Amino acid sequence: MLEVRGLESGYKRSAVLQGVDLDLAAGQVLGLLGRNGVGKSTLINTLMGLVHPSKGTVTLDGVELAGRRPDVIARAGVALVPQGRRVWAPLTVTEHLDLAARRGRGRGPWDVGRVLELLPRLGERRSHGAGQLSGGEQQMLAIARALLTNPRLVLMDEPSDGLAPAVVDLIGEAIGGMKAEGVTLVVVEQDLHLAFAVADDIAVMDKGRVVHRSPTLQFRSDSSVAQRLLGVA
Amino acid sequence: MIDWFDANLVSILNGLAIGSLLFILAVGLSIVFGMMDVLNLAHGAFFLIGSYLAVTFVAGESWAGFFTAIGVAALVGLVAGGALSGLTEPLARRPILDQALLTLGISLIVAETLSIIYGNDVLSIGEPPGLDGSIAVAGNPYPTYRLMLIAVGLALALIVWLVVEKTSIGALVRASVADREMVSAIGIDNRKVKIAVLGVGSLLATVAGVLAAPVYGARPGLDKTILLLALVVIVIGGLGSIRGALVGALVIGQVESLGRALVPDLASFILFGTLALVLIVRPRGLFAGKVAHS
Repeated sequence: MLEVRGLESGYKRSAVLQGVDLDLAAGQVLGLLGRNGVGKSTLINTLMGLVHPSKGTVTLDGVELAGRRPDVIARAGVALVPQGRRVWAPLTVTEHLDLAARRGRGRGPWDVGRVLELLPRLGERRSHGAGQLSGGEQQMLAIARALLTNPRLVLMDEPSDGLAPAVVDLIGEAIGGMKAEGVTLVVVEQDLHLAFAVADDIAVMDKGRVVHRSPTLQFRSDSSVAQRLLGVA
Repeated sequence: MIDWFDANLVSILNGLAIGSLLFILAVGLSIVFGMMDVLNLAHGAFFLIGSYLAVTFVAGESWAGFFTAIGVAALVGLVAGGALSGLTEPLARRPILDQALLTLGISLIVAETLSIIYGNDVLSIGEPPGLDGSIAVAGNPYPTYRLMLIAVGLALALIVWLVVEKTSIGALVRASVADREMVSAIGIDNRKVKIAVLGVGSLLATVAGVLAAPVYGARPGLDKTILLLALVVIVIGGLGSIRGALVGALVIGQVESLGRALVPDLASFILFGTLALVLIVRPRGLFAGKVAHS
């Protein structure tokens, strides 16, 4: 479904991605791990079109997406749950849902009712401003916003960042619900517990490249890999 | 207090009229700046186009002329704003100064072209029939047209507020002000939003030019005076905020009018003193609309 070849990108004075290769099958959930600064978020932002690649290809079901505008990539079926949530603080929850739903209407199974079944807490906060929500609720809103565009591929950048353990469990359940619906996901995560709970495969990045890929069970059974690449036992 | 209010009622009403005009002018400028970081220095020139259109269609002599001027000005503003959006697009990834210089260049070309067509004299027009007299307000005669200007300004303020705060189009505009990358990431083409907002913002500027013509006339240099006031309004109000533009416009309207009436020698100092004070106390303006994401 997703095929990334030799992807290079970065910011004005620094090249961050140094030739990323990555494959993802439909319905698969990939946990993307790595130390800080190895290029995980840059990869996510480059796939979404927020960072311009200097080299390489990104194809989604055969359609070339590298270097296209974010709105074109979104309409091709990619959605982003960004680091830091980036909800629109002046808008209410309902306004978020309506804005995203209008883009995704008729393109897939997700509508406001279905998303609120998956994330019931949002239903109780519909009239609240996004800026008034807790961190966990904002994360749920960011997930809802992405899902309502009816994407084929969802890119999640550190969904557990800054959240209490109980809320992380709720986010994990939401990812499980998306997976059950057949949504393909790339989940960048520092929380290994969450990554192992949701991912079919684990990929590890180092120095701007994907340097390891294995099924989650295999990755967990070989602690030397995690120790070598992530610095954890 | 009542005596003071009574003595200065005309100045206060003048301030309200100026404030209403400034709001119509500043709201488009503010949203575009807050949303797209496009500082449109041609906004004053668009206002001046409206004023000269009022002169062209002799808006002061008949209602037909007045409404023709408004209609043509609205169309010209819409097209000019859309065109400006297209011109700034190639500079979207470049520093804000590049875009500001482009719009400054356009404003100079427009102002010079208007000077060539209409000359350098101050051209004045009267009020439309029926609005050329005055009405007693608390015993003080006050020009009817200016009262109409206050009413139209406040009505437009209400309409703009309703559209931006209560409709899905407004939600899209507010989302774009808050974080346009995420608007793009749900599949919306930011360039179309920018064309629409710049078009409507410029339309409001040209229409404000027509409405102001019976008060200020049309003359070279008016564009710069008006642009400066509008910039002060949006800096005070906060970039991208409708409420900020309204409050900023009403404050600057009173500072301009009451300041000139009470302490004429210090009027300019009071205007920029207010700006400096707001910047010291609240550097992002009274109602900053642009929210930094965490």
